[in-house]
Amino acid sequence: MTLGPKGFVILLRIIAATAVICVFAMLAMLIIASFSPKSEFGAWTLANYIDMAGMRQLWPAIFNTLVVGIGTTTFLLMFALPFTWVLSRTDFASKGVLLTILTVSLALPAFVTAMAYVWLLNPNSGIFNRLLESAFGWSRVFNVYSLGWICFIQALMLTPAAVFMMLPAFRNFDSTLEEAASVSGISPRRAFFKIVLPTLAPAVGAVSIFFFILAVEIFDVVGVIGMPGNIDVITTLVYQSTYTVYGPPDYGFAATLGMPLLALCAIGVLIYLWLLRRADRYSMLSGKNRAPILRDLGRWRFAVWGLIGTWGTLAVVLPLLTVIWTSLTPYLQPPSMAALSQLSFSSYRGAAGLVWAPFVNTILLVIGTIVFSIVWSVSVSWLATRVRSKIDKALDAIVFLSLAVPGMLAAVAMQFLALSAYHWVPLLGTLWLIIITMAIRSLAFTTRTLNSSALQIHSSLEEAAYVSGVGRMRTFLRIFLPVIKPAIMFAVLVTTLISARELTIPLMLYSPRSSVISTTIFDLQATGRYDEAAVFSLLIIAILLVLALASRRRTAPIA
Amino acid sequence: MSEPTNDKPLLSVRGLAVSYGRAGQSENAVQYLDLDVSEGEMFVLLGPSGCGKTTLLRAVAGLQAPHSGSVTIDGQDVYNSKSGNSVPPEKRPVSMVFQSYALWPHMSVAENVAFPLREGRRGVPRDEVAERVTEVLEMLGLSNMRDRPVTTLSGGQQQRVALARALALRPRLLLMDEPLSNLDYELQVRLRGQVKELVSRIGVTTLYVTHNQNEALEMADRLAVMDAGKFRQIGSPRELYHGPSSEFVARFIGDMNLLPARIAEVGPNLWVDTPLGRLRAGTNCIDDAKVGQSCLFGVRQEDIEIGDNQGADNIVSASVDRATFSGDSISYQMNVNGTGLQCRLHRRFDVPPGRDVLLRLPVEHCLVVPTDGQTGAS
Ligand SMILES: Nc1ncnc2c1ncn2[C@@H]1O[C@H](COP(=O)(O)OP(=O)(O)OP(=O)(O)O)[C@@H](O)[C@H]1O
Ligand SMILES: [Mg+2]
Repeated sequence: MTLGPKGFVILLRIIAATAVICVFAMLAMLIIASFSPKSEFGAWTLANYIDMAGMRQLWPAIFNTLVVGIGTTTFLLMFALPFTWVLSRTDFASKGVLLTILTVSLALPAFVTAMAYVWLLNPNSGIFNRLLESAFGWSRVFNVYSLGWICFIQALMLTPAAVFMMLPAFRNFDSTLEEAASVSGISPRRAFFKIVLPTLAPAVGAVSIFFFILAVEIFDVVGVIGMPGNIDVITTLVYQSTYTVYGPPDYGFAATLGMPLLALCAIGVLIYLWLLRRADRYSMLSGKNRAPILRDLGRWRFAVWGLIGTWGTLAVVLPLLTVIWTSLTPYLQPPSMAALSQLSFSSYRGAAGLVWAPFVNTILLVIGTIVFSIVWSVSVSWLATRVRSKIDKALDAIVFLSLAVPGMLAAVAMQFLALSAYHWVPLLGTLWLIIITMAIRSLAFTTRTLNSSALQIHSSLEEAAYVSGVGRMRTFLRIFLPVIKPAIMFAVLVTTLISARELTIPLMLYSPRSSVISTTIFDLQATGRYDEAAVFSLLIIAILLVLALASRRRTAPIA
Repeated sequence: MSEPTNDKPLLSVRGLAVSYGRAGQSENAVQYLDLDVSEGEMFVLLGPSGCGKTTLLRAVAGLQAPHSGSVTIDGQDVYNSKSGNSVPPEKRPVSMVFQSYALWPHMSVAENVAFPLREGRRGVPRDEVAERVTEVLEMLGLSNMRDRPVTTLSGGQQQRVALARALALRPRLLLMDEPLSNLDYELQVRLRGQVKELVSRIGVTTLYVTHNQNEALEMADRLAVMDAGKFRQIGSPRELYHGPSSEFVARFIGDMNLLPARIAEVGPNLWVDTPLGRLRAGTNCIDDAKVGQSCLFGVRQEDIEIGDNQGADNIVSASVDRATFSGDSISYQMNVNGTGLQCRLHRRFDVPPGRDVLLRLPVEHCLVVPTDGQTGAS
């Protein structure tokens, strides 16, 4: 196939435009839905907004959402900042161990960890509470159904991602800034607070905002802990309004309920962008970097080991052991001689009968998401970094703005769209709908990854091909793609990891035909079939572990 | 060869050795150096990339821990491996200009200068801070940009802010690590003069690192040529230029023709046998030269002249192999009995290739230098 320069640009713009149309359709549907009565397309009403304003749970839910966002981010920084510091700026001897633990923890989806904590710490039958009761007679010591535990568990699960996001900024921090302070008579402590922290502040701030947005939008933990505990946040209200016992789900009202969340996330994204620009400007200045001087940890290394031990136990060991134990026992019980005699693999047999369809669907979901996501983002990135006209930059910006739409609202919008368009395009309840929604959601991340890689590589590589008489298409395939291949591989791995453990979007969109492993686990847990939920959890953990370790090898040079 | 002019040097380094990695396991980046810099002096460290200039500078600043030796600044013992004494950088009476400038990106020009004065440990009186900032910004022509964020400055402006920040502290010893190397050539040449003038007007003792020989010769009161962590020679620019004590220094400074030679006669007149014939040298850089000893005969390209007087010393007959016109002068590749000789002549001597000419190697500019491996005069 030969395409002239114009033709090729047009081809890629068409591909990129389909992504932008999807993003627009999603946003438009969300707004239209919020003005539609009872999921009916085309009629206009303010009823949903009036209903929302009159809702008793609304303000508490908004308040709780903010608490979850701020609480999670605070706990998160308590772990992620020291870890990042230790990895990038100290002589800590066992950095490999820490990195491995962080990577392994990626294999535990947040909803699995949340479930494990419910099994451990629910006030009535929680394994740990029962242990304390039988040992000391203290009853109901821990209550997992609280905002505190929701924040804490979310923070545990987000720690590795936050560390990996902050590491480059910490590694690239120009240590001559610190040295300039010290030869100017500034004490190390003062230099830390007045030079190091303020210089890193935009980067740390941007990461904090990013995880604040994530913390208020992910459904994993609030879905597993908040709903049974009657703790309302915006996402649980949205979910519950689509999941009524009587009558059909009301996606219009769900969209309306999502509006406060959309506003919150949109503000967050704007602050995020502003901070990123600032962080970039700071890093622009530093010239030739010397290898950073690694601080001697001295006796502080025991504190570091303590923190790693605490985090590793709470985020990995404890949940994992709980899941394994639960999978082997017929009902929740603390370890005892009696319990040991009841251990069996019977739940594995039960689960085996259910596993095939979700397993295949999960794999299809992952592959589909990657294909859509990569084809779209490669096109957008090439246009935005190589053609660079106003149109192309606008395409890129719109794609990035999709970051502000929480996954749950994206799902509501797409569901509403599928419902409305059901007679023309029968997407409702299919895996396709889930795949497209997930791919749109992943675009912000994948285009960012590819853009930064494509920008680092000078376009003269491709220009050299053009002036040697090689056509556009061939240059794109044989020069551009191979050159940014490491970034593509990284984007593929992260997208795989994320889509395999995604709960929110599939949960909103699946039908019995299109159930995946995460939705199966959620349903088993919701109906009290803990042992089978545990077996499925082990399955997804095993799959994710392989992916996570593969990504560790891939990203080792980066991280 | 050149003792510090003052009795008590401002900076005194004794037996200083620095190695990256554990001592003994890896080669020392700085190998047992002695150095004295006297008050008010501009001392330049010159050497090829990787020879340890930055390492030495950082050890003096206290940014890099040496593993043996001692450093005294202004009579204060700031490092001594024997007594285990090591003063941290913030308490040494120094300041430093970094190659990358290391300006604090979250502060304005004035804040960059004021921050160490206000929050540092060098005991600057509070009410003096504003005054000093204004003064130093004025001095460096930065007054009109005092409130600009440093991230918006050009390279040359950033360089001046870095210098302002260092000077505002009124250090006893100013350390500069290739402060001009990130600038383009024109600016570099212009700033050399300005920095030198400023520093000597203030009278601050300076240790200046560069790998550019022109910069070193222009700026230094005295300089040291370094190689592989050692000093090869210390002296004034003139001393080093006219009397390199080793092949390394001779090759590193100036464009020198170096020919293998053997000493033929010592005494009031020094004669050597070279591929060009027997020649007389005006300067002997070998400690106790003996007849028959092998050495190098050196003469700089720009010192060679067109000869006219057939009977005088050091006249050789050469043919022009190649001529390169470069404006004010012409560089020639000459051939003398099959031996190549480079020279640079004024443009009025425009000789086409193939022609024969007589060249005079002025005795007073001819040197005898020990080959590397021998010891030179010191
Ligand atoms: N952080 C480090 N770790 C290990 N070796 C180092 C380190 N920094 C420098 N070295 C080595 O020490 C030696 C001296 O380095 P130094 O930076 O002092 O050289 P330099 O003379 O300043 O060179 P340049 O002109 O390139 O700046 C070099 O061989 C270098 O490879
Ligand atoms: Mg250096």
